[in-house]
Amino acid sequence: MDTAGIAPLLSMTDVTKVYHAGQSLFGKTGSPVVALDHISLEINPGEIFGLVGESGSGKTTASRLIVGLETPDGGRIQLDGQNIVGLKGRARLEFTKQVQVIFQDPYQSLNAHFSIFDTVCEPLIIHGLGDRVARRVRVCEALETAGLTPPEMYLERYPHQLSGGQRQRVAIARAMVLEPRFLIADEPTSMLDASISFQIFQLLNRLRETFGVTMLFITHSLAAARNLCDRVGVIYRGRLVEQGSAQETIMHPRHPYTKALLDAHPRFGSSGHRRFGTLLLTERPRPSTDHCLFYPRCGLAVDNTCNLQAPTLKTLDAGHRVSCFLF
Amino acid sequence: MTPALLEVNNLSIGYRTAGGIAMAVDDVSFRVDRGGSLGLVGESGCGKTTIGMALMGLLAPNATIVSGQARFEGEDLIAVSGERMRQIRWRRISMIFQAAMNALNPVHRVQDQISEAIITHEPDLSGHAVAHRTRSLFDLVKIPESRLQDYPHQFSGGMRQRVIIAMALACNPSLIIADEPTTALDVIVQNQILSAIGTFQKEMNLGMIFISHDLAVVADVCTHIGVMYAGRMVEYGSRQEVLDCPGHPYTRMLVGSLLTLSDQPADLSGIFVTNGENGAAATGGCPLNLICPDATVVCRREQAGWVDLTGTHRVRCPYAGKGR
Repeated sequence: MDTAGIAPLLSMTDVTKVYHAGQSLFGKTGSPVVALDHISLEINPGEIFGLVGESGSGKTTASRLIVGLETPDGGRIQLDGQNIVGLKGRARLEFTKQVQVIFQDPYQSLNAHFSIFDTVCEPLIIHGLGDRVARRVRVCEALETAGLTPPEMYLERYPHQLSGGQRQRVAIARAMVLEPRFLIADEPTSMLDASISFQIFQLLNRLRETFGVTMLFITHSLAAARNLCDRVGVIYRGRLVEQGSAQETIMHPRHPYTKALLDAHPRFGSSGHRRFGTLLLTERPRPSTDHCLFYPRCGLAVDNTCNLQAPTLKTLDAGHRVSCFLF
Repeated sequence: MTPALLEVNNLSIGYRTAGGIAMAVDDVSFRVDRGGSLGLVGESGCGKTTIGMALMGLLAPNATIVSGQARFEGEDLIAVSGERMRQIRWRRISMIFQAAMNALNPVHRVQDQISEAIITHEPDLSGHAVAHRTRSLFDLVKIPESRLQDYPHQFSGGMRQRVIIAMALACNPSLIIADEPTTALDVIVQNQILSAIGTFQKEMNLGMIFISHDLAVVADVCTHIGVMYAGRMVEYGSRQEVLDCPGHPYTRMLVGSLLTLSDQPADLSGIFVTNGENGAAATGGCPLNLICPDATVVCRREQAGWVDLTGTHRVRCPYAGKGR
């Protein structure tokens, strides 16, 4: 998709988030953990952007920063060119109407005491939208959008009466009931079985096609990103190491870490040997100087370069960007 | 045909509940050979872990084995006494549990924890022999010997899972049951653990039952695949047979929903199905009939019997291999 010249819907510029581990009565004792380190990315209207990384790489932190559950320690986050960090009162309410989240675990993200109607209706009440009758109509529409048909069958049920896939659909209905412009899906299928995951992917894809909703799709699975997303960013220990179209990044990866991820992907029975082999079997010690974060595990690392300074994102071609000294 | 290492016949297991017995495993049969590995695939709640627990004699108190045998090295695991089971467990059959890396004792060095497992089961072994075996186990799961003296918190999740695997192998079992051994791990670590499992399984010529919800993982590790749905095994065959020509509608669904890294992205534009995701135990009819695209009136009424597609590949669906 050629999106040059289109203003991004959401942009993060040099966003940094540091957690101070081991905070105690006696002040900050533990060393700080850099969850996100100068992350910059732009998500264009109507696209699904995939953020791929291992657990602990900072991908969920990115989503929490965007919706304002955390505040960044540096950098800017903008929606439509407007700053969205530290919004309060009416401005914050207006923002949440446009940006909604689907969380990872549908067993925890739904209130067990709320019926499905209450769950999906709550955002409408918070935003003061519609009267009783109108709300019921919108809740039913949202449930139908999420594939829970007929919606009347679900309204009076409670989360424990639904399967995992159905619960995640309720979470999607709750997010879509406000007709948001931007949706964050944070590993929406990691708790679900394969065949149901596939249905959720189909649903997300349909939401984009029908409503034009822009999406940040957070996942640890390259295969999911490959099949659902237009563009992807690969994040490693809080830094973006590669970014580009899903096709280019995953079929022709450049960064050694992306290659290692692809190598590790289940081969589905074909007993092919490792294609890239960029991962070291025994890790190198972590250098004390500034260094490429992947240096200790990288089989292609160049001594006296990768262990002495951190690479920056370089643009290669057609929006494909990679953070590695080899390019 | 050489006798199987483990041969399970018509195994049915239920859980006693207030509303009667809920069948978790219904008439399941399979065999595992030495050096072979069977992948049990299915969604959560389909009974795959219950099978593993039954073979280990570790079923929950409210579970009852309704019928069936499990012949292992000349004995029926279902019929043996509790005392005999204690002798078999860990020595002859061992199990790697899901997220077991969190079960290591944090205040003991990993070396001592493995040695303890060996000494408990083989009290006659000399200290020297125990130390030697501990070292060779670490070698097998590729943890450097220098880490033997470390405590569990000094290891990463993947390393701790390796320690657990080493413990499972400590008494030279002939059958190992791996229950979702990589579920909580990252892709790269998962891949390393799977290759470690593959290596020792071949080197020690073990039989293995690999339980997972992820067909892609099973396809990487196992020689045979058994697909389970709602307590029943619906398809059984060699890896190639099941993956290349899946006969059962549910297997076809699983294979079809595998996302791969091929050149062409999967078609996500299809109409999605809902309902019936629970796979609730159906009485009478085929449990899949609610979501099966090929279901007929007959499927609603009666259980399907096994249909042999080849000598080793069988499917529990009357329409398997016909057309489509």
